[in-house]
Amino acid sequence: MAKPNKDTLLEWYRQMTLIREFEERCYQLYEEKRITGVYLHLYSGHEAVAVGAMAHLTKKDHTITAYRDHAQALILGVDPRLLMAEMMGRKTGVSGGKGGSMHLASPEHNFWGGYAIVGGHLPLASGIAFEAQYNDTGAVVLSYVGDGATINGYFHEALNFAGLWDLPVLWLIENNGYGMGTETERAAGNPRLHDRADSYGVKDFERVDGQNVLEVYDKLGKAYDHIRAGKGSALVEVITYRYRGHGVSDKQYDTLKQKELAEWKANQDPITILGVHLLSEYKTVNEEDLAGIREMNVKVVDEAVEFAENSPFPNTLEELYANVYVD
Amino acid sequence: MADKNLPMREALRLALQEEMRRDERVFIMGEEVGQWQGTHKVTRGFLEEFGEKRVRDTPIAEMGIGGLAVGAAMAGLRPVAEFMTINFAFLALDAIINHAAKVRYFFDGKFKAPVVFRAATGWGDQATGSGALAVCADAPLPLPADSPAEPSTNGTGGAATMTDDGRIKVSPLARRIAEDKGINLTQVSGTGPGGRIVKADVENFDPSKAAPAKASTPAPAPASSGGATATMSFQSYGTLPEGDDVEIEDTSRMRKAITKGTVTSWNTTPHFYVTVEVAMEPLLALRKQLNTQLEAEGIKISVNDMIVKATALALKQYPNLNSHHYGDKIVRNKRINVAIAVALPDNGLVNVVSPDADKTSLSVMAQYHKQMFADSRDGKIKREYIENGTFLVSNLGAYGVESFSSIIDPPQAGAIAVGASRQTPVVKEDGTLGIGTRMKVTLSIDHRVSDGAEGAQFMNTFKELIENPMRLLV
Repeated sequence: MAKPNKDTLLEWYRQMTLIREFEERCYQLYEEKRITGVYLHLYSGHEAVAVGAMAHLTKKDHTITAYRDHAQALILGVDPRLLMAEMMGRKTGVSGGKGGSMHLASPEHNFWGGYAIVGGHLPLASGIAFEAQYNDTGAVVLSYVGDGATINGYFHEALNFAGLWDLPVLWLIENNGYGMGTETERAAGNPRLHDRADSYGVKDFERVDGQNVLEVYDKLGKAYDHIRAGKGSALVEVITYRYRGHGVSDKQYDTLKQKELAEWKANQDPITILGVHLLSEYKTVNEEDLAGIREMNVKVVDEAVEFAENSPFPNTLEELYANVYVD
Repeated sequence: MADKNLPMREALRLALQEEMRRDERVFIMGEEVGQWQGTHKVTRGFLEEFGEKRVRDTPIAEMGIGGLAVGAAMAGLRPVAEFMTINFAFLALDAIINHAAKVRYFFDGKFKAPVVFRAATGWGDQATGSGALAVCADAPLPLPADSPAEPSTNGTGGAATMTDDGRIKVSPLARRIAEDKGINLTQVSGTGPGGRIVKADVENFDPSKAAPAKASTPAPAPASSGGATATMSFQSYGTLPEGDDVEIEDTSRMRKAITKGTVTSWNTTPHFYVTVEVAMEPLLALRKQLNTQLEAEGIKISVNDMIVKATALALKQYPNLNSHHYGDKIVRNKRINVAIAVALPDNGLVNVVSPDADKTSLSVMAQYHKQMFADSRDGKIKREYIENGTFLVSNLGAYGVESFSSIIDPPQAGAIAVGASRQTPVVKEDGTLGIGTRMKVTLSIDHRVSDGAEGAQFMNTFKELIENPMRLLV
């Protein structure tokens, strides 16, 4: 597995700052009621996890996640304008305005979505991996799992299928310390979530610091190698933190948890960590370069918002009823 | 295989076997389906014939069984996932309702889940099981719930649900009755789940009251293999061709939207057409004059702008054509918002609206149209551009087309199709032959809302306005 060079790291920096800009803008738009609805789950703080993990994907590999799904779509290269349009429920959105924030998807990018039920997508990941195995495509399915979802029945059954049939799934547990508002320690009988892998015959690759993209990349590489060598399913637990609540309607940081949040932001920000690394390791990279990347992303998101707000809503009867029935 | 009396379990077994043989993508998963040949021996012999890859014994894990089947179906396989009895399926209701039934909707059709869930009913002769399945399936979700409940089947009980290439949905018993009675199934409407034709539909069928038979009629085939390609809905087109001579691509969203609108219109709106030929000399002369005057302000009025205005003024005199048909109600539109068909780059099309066209001056209209067309071609279609159109103008004059007819855009009641202005031989007032500039305009009109006499009168008024274009300025 190649060590990432300067260009790769700059590309990761672009991806991470694009995600941060997009997510923070969504928050702002939500406050301004320009994005409406109840469900908007933001990835701010998690950026290094998805960027590091997905750097290993090839075109035929698959990605599936729950509702904190904007970052995965951006990393895969889905047009941010179409994503923002989906946030706003427009016809031009990536799911035709029918899915919203939680149901982004793109078959061209092998991105399977975007699901609302906690744990609901886990057996789907097993099913998609089943097809990869059945048709011998050699593809890997990267399936994100929230710490809360590791406790639900689907986790048990889906991982068992993967371990039993050696399905090519990489289970990536994003442990950000909270299942909605409840701390992981208050939900899990055994809070070392990766321990569970053994119970299913899934290879345990243990834990990694999710705020350091290089470490994530390194650890995930080992898990991918295991699966690509035909040795069966693998699991990694990544320790990370989210800067916004579970969803936008969650006010946890307004009341109880400000100090904890401030500490993570000050000491463990993934973008800062990568930025510092780039500046110290590469003489040819300076602060202006990084600022330039951030500014570019501001423009990308500006354009996305403008496109979205100028797009029509689906509003004919035919559009409303499309894809409800097969015929 | 037709015309046999079989026990249900044997009918199921034969149907499954047929599909497993016909299509490599089909696989079976469930508790005890492999080694122990399935409950009621529905999968007897399958492990031996098809092997472990395609006949999967699963652990007792209904949530996982349901969800894995959905994922595999989304990925292109054709799983048949069995719940040993229907009540166990309730463990997987989330996978069934929130995923199998909904992914197609919330991913806007980009992902589909063609999965078959099988479950045996309760053991007793009271159908606790089948009753529950029908209730669940019909109420919250639109899965086609097939209970092949009629006892004498011909082995095709489950097959119609499993395949997705557009065959008529009909129960095997109803198919057999239709065959016996010589009834053409394309003429029968179904009252079963998902529009399925059931025994009662065929028994109550009155051929004298039926719609004419559709051209592509299948022989009601007893075996489920063999491509019956008759369509009950316009969205079934049969199986795609393959090979080096063809390239398959996905239909774009815009094309799908246009398909829906035009096919709906074609199938439900009885169109008839009225054509007039208008003399263009006065209008062209007036336009030249106006544009000379407006040049300083940078405004240019197009022929189409004037046609839109004429249409609006004609509609003012024939408000019935500015109405929309809604079955037992007619909606009278108080505003005259003329829609204009605009071709977009990349083979696209959009109908943008010129609001209150009867009340708007030509110069204001010209500027607004210019902005609207430019925005549309740049992909910046504002919501106000496409809302509330009451009547359509479609102009192919720029392409040199002599005449054509438009498909009405539902729920509108009419549309005019404008051809090119051409030099053509004409008979002058004094009876001699001369050359004139003429343009053909064809009205398409909804016969539910209006009729020939009114259509003709409307077109004559339109013609008068074009030929006396000063009227467009007042």
